[in-house]
Amino acid sequence: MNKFFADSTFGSLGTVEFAENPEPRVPCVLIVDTSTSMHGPRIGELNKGLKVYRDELLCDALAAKRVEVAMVTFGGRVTRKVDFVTATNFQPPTLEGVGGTPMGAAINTALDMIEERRKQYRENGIAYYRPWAFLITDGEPNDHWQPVASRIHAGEREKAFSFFAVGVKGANMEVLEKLSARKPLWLQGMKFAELFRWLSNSQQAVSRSSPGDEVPLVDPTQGPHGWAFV
Amino acid sequence: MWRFICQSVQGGRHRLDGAECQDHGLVRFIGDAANGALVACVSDGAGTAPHSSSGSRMACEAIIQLAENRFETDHTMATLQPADVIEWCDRARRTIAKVAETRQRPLRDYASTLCGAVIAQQRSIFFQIGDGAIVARRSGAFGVVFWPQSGEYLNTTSFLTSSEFHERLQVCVVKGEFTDIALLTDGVERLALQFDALTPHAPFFHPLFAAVRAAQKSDVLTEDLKRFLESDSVTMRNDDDKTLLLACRIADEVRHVA
Repeated sequence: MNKFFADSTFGSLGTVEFAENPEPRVPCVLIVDTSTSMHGPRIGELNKGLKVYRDELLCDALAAKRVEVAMVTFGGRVTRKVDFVTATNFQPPTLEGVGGTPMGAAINTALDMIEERRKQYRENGIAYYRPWAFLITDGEPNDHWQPVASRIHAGEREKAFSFFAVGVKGANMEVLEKLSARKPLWLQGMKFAELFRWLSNSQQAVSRSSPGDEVPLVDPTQGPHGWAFV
Repeated sequence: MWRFICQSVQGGRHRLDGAECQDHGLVRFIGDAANGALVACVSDGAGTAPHSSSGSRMACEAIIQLAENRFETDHTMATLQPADVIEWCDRARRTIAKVAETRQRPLRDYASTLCGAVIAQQRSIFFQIGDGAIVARRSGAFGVVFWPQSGEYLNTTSFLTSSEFHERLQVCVVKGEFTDIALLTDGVERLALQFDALTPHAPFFHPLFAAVRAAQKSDVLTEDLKRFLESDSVTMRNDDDKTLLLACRIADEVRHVA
């Protein structure tokens, strides 16, 4: 199926054909606050950021096939906005801000989705990398969030996923610090585009890593492309 | 007699980083046709381990050296036992540990996998720790000896330098005559193996083994193998370091010897 140099000894004896295996996957679920406080320019910038995320992933041939995106929103109620799709098939939705902040339930839904996806990968013999859960909020949970904090900490200990929390101005950092095993980050202003560019770059690096590689993430608080502060 | 080639090439990703190729492979025929054996090994140094390139080279060199010592004392490879190759791996690991100690580096800086095969006339021993694979053909049928070991996530595996390496080392003895052997590191896995069926992808191996059998000079073939592994059609599928070792038993020369 795939020809290679016809002038070689191999070429004269036949064409080597490659095995067609499913690409290994990098699953990522975005957990996005769409409560009333996000309404206005914030949600507008976030929507633009999601398009940047998709475009950046599509610029990388391997990442486009390997990174899988899902999205859970919480504004009034928890919605599975996007079920896992490869970057090529990811159509960023236009989000609107309305309702309360059921953050705990949203995180639980997202972690359930990760578990389901891992099960599907295993059943179908698809290799995969450690899943990402990425929370963006400008408020505080109005639901029962303490149990989900222990679920996040247990998952991080077992390396079941990596959980990141980003606070937009107004977020309750004390809660985010209790939720996340890693230090939560503040978003600088409304630098959603930079945030999603960083996310895409980090996942591109992970999607081509091999055994023994621990992929160091670029510090998002530093440099001209920084988007966060602690 | 055996005809064999082995080539390691650097992945595109590592070329960009300016890193050196962390893979190694070695193959020798040790001893005479009746009592000797083909000894082959490949090793893949971990991407994050700063000295894994020396780790993988030392692992391969140690195995070949220990096999040569064995033939010198016993004058045959046909009696080799699994316990012997476990001992070889132990000693290879100790050699690496000694170098790490001298240079005051932790052993994990030399992290590398190991796949090995000792193919005597009627009996073979295979061993493996970590990912990569050994593909062997007998009576026309291909098989993968051990499926590549990886953790739950694709970028995790076991290494010769791991503390739990004894539990992870797989060894098996197979009777009968193998005609073709390939050893490969994980950069080649997804091109050469069928992950759903857990089998070798025969259309990948057929033309390569046919080329080795037909070749007059193995140095020309080695260059061809390098060009193949560096070709766009290969690198666009995987930009990691790659090692491919191919060996074929050549029937005609066996008759000469007999």
